[in-house]
Amino acid sequence: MSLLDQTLRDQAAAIASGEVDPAELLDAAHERIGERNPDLNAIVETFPERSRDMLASAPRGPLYGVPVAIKDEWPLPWRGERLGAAQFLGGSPEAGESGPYRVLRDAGAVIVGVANMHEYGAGSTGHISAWGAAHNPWDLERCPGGSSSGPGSAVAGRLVAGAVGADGIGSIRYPAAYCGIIGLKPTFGRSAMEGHHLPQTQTIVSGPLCHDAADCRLLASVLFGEPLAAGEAGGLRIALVPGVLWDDCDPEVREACQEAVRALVDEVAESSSEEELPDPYLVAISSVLLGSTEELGIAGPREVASLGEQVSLIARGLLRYRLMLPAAAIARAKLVRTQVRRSLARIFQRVDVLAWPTVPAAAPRLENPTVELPSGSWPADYVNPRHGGIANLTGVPAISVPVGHTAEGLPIGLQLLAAWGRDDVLLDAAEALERATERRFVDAAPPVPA
Amino acid sequence: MSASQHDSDGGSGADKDAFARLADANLRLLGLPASAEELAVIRGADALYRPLVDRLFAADVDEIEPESAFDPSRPPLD
Repeated sequence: MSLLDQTLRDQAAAIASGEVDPAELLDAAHERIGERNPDLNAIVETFPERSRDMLASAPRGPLYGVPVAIKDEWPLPWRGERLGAAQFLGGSPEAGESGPYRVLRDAGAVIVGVANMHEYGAGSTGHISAWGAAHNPWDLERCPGGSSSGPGSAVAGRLVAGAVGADGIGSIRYPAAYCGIIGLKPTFGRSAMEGHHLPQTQTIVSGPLCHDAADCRLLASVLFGEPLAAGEAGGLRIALVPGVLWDDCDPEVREACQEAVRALVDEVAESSSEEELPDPYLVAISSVLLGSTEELGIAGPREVASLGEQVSLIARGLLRYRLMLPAAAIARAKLVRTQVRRSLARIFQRVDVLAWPTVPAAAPRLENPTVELPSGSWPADYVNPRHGGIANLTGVPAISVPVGHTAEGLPIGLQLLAAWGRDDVLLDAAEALERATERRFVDAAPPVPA
Repeated sequence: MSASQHDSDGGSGADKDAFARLADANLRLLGLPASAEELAVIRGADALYRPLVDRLFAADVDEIEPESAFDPSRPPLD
């Protein structure tokens, strides 16, 4: 097995011990990208000289010499972000030292490539990008999830062991679920964000996508600029939220997630219970409205009118539609946000973790990204925010953990949410879940592309 | 595509249905033309999301006291 197939921790330890030359690991990573990326389209740009320069000046930090990828949402000193789009909204992309770049550099990591993303970050599937769609390593005809499609595909495809994505309405957790890896959406404001094109955001965070929870803890510690100590998760109080978040799911997804919760309860729980939240559909539309409102400063009528046909028809239509929605809806969405935040604050006084499926169905086909649910056939982009939007609307942390596979071999993800600032509890719970499932799902690797 | 093509949704005003006329009028107020294909995307989005927006307007949220000092990194203070 190549060191590239192992964890960030293994790679860092092998370099630190002198067992592996980081320059050889970097060459191997480029070679791996050259072999597998033509199928995956996860990495949209490499810059071997820049990567070698990073390694040459890398400090002996916790990720010294370890290759990682970064989503096309972050400026680098030698490259402005493109957001997976052929035309930038609101000016021109500018190269620079974004927060995620800076903390990766200071940790000794080597950015080996920029990872693909759904155009403008405006989709949960990853099937639209100016770079062409990224592909799901478990089935190349399937969506990798979005908008952090490239990070998800690159980590699952073992191009890198860790990648930095961004999550505004579930954009780290959906690709983690579709690709069978772990993705953490940190508490709002906790992870490095400087240099993002929406500096006033109240919903978007940077976060890690990795093979397992311990790697996620390592990369999150780097992004947070503070260590996230591991705990045992003993006495965890787990609650389910009955209703549409469980009932309106593909049966295979529902059953795998139910089984995972049972395993987690057996492993570490002091108790399990049920809690109620406000209407998930109101939560979904509120998260979409408030999230998309943050873009109005750069996606007003003049900017939208300037979009040419190199931008997807879907984006041109949806950006117009967004401008047609009544402003009064925003005020009501903020009231829903208040209601949900108060509700979660009360719930997290009684329980440590809430659980429901990360997405209601496994990865849809790239050519037709719709999912079949008990309620009918829906675009994945319509139903996924029902499951993922609440964490962005309210600011709480959430994680997606792989917990099974469908009969077709597609990964299934369970989402856990915790109180503000308790990202550590989520990582402890995810590690407990890995123990309870004997690491079957975090260690599962997709078929190697021919 | 020319501006005149952008201004058309594939037919004259008389040919347009109510939704297309409303969307076209809204977009014209914004100074934002839309092609027939873009209007089709808008129509599809509206079919999905309009029921949720209507649900939002029908929701019993008027009595909710707005949050003071909103900070998404922390739980609400009130």
